[in-house]
Amino acid sequence: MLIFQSDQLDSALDLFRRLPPQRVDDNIEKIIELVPDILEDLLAAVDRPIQVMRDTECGKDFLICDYNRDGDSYRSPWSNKYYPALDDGTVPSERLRLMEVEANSAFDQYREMYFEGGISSIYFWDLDHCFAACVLIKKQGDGSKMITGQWDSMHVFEIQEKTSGRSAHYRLTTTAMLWLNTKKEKSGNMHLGGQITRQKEDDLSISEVQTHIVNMGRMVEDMENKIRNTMNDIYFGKTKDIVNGLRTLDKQDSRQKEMFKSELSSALKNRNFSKE
Amino acid sequence: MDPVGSSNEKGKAAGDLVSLAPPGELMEVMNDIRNMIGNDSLVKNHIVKAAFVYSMDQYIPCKLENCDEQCLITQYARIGDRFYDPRSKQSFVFDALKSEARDFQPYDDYDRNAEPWRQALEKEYENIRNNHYSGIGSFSVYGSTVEGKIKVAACLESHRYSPKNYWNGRWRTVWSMEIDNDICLVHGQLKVQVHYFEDGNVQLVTTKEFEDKIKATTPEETAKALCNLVVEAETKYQTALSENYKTMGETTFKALRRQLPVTRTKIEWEKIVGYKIGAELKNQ
Repeated sequence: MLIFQSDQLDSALDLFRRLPPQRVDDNIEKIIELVPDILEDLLAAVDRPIQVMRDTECGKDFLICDYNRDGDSYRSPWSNKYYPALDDGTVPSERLRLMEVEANSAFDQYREMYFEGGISSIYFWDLDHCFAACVLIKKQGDGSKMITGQWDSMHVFEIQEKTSGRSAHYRLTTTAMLWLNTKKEKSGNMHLGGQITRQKEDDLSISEVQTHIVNMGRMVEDMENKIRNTMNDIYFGKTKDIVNGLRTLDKQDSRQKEMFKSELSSALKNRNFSKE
Repeated sequence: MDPVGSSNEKGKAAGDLVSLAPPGELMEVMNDIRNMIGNDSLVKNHIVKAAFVYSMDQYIPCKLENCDEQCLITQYARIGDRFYDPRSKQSFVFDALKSEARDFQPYDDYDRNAEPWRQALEKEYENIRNNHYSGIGSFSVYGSTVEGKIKVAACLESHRYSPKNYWNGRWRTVWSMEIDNDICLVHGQLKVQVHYFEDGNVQLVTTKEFEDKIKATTPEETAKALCNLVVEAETKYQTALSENYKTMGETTFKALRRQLPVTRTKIEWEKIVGYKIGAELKNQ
């Protein structure tokens, strides 16, 4: 039975690699209609645009995901309180909460320097023999030139400290989402969006100066810089080239190609004949 | 819950998912859904129906007997349980699961009133295909008479599937004209979908509608005039898409996240992380 269910989950996850990511929430609803049992696993595994909630105590917005959720409530990284209020909601151990506060302040600066706006939220939680953290960043465009844009990135760390205490193993899984939409007279509706996922593992030393947050910060910065370049290539290079491969803009060009093709094939034929 | 009712709900959900399959991935999407539902024959029926609707919606090209040109599966080609090819005048059964035609029969029931207009546009449309969709495009042209007015519709499909390189794409258009005395009302719809899926899932989905009018003269002259309009509109559209790509990449994307901070150097993390708390943590 268990194997059967994991098969169903695999098929569901394969569907999410195929169906238009622009409609991910609709698609989750439909898949749940087919296999209700995999709801929890699906919500944990499928990447969706990050949602925003308000921490009324601190007067600040925060980002939500499966890692700061308890039941139907979400924990704010600013006040450490759950919204809607939850009395016995899970909170990280004192040590992790200290790190969490520090990480939120450090990544706030990182976000301001790279995104010049947006929202970030970092969550830590305890695991058996190690701990984990999640760095969330969201930025919405200003909609200028009639194009709306949105960036969502999610970095999940699993951190295992070595017994020596002088180094740690970091396992990072990053998903970055980029959404671009426009509706114009000349080009109609155009939706370009989706996500890219990358993983990286590293052993890094820890000292008074080089803390977990410093190591995580460097890894996130490197990863986002790389993924940003990849996105630039895929979104604005690759998918554009594919479109322009579906229709030849210049008819001269296609005739030349045809001529080249027939020249090539007759040259190949001649070669084959001469071989025989 | 009533098992039949629940199977119907499931069937509808399964059909909706099938209808969203990206270009060239219908089989994979159907297999995933089958793996999820197990042995539910009612739901399976819904999936087969959805595959038909999908094929008509996507203008799936299909090889025919005794005919060099592929014909498209479209709503216009549907005659009851069968489809017909207006070019070779034969009807057939379409297997939506395999994208194959079988059981070919001559088809004589086409609209003779519209046929000269249909044929003229079919002949002229070859230039569009050869000039702009050479080697990858297929098209079918249909004629009908609706409330005394002749209607002709040209559907075109162009795709490239390259799953080994993690991408698939399809471009499809329909241009129809309705002849009302000496005026010809033109309606066009253009859709593009691209799927890129190496370590991710990125898709381009576009739609654009066109409305225009041209003078109706002879079938041949009107077909030429329509084709000129089509080429111009499609070329303008393709150029506008490229311009959007440029603006999105150079303006919108850059405003979302910088390549490097204003200082043009990477962040000195030791400086922004407080030493004190770092030290505290170490002593714990």
